[in-house]
Amino acid sequence: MEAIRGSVTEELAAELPGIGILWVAVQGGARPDSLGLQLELDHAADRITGATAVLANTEPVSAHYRALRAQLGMDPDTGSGTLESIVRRRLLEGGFRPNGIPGDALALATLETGVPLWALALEPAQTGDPTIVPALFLDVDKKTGAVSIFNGELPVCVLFGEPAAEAVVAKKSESYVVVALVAPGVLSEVCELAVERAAELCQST
Amino acid sequence: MSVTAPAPELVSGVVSTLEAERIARRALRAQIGKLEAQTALLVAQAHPVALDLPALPGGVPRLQSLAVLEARRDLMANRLEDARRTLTQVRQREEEARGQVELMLADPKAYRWLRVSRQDAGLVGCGHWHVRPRLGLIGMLAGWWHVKISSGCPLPGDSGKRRTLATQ
Repeated sequence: MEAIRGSVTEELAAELPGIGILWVAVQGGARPDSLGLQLELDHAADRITGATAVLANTEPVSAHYRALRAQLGMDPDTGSGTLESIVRRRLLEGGFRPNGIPGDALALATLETGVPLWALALEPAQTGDPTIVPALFLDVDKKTGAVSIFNGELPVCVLFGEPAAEAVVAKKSESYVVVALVAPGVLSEVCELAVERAAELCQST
Repeated sequence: MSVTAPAPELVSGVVSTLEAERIARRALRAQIGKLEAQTALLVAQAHPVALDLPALPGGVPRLQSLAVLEARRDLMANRLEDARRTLTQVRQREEEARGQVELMLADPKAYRWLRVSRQDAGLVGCGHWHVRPRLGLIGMLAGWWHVKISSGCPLPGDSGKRRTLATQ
């Protein structure tokens, strides 16, 4: 299971040097958490306190993603899939309520590494041919101006947003990809580790 | 009608202007990143004091223009400056409260009934220093004043026991 590097359009690479995406394909669809994943999440939840939430903003990897959100015109405190959003969820829920795979696998990998991750279902209908490996890349959506993850011609997920309706992983999905965003300043090795760990957890039984 | 190619110096001028703008945008993004890191650090250092920072205007992630980046940089710089000022004021008040406790301990009689909480003094946990008369009314009449230190936060075990009893 090795991470594949997605491409970045010239325009984006020139404006934000160092930005990128990495992804790993996972077979199967959404399913309930494995017992091992539930236990690991419980242990992770026990380690999170109010002070952790405050310090999460200054955690080195997370800080680069906060900076990127601010640079892209977002409020750094918002965004889906971020370390801060997961820590906030833990504080609000008083633990991690089982959310199923891939959601919980992504949350745990993000807690461990600080790298935001997304799971995107890229069915043959989107790639056009089941034998074609999805070619993900980062670009600016010409319609909305949003920096998004594209699969071919289609924007499948706005950065730090929720996946497009057709890219949400469902029970019937045959496969999906786990995508990590590489923010400028973050070592790609850390992102590789995050995406591979998440994929491993997604396939855990 | 013949079309003449633009002079090479003009083309290079346009390219250099675009490149210069891009460099400026990158510089502004670096400043925004730095300001964000400093703000996050300040919030962490201020803990447990909650700095009431105004939220930054947000939206979908976009490549911002030079003007927008400049405005955002200025907004973030002002926000950081305000937060630093607020924190300095809070720290000063805490320092004053700690000084007040020293004075109360040195001469309780001069600070009758005065109460300073641990929170006022910038300390974590519950409790307060309270100047009270010894032996109630007798101490009040005799002028026997002392600083009473409260016993702090309720024990978690105790409250748990109470909850269990209440549910039975």
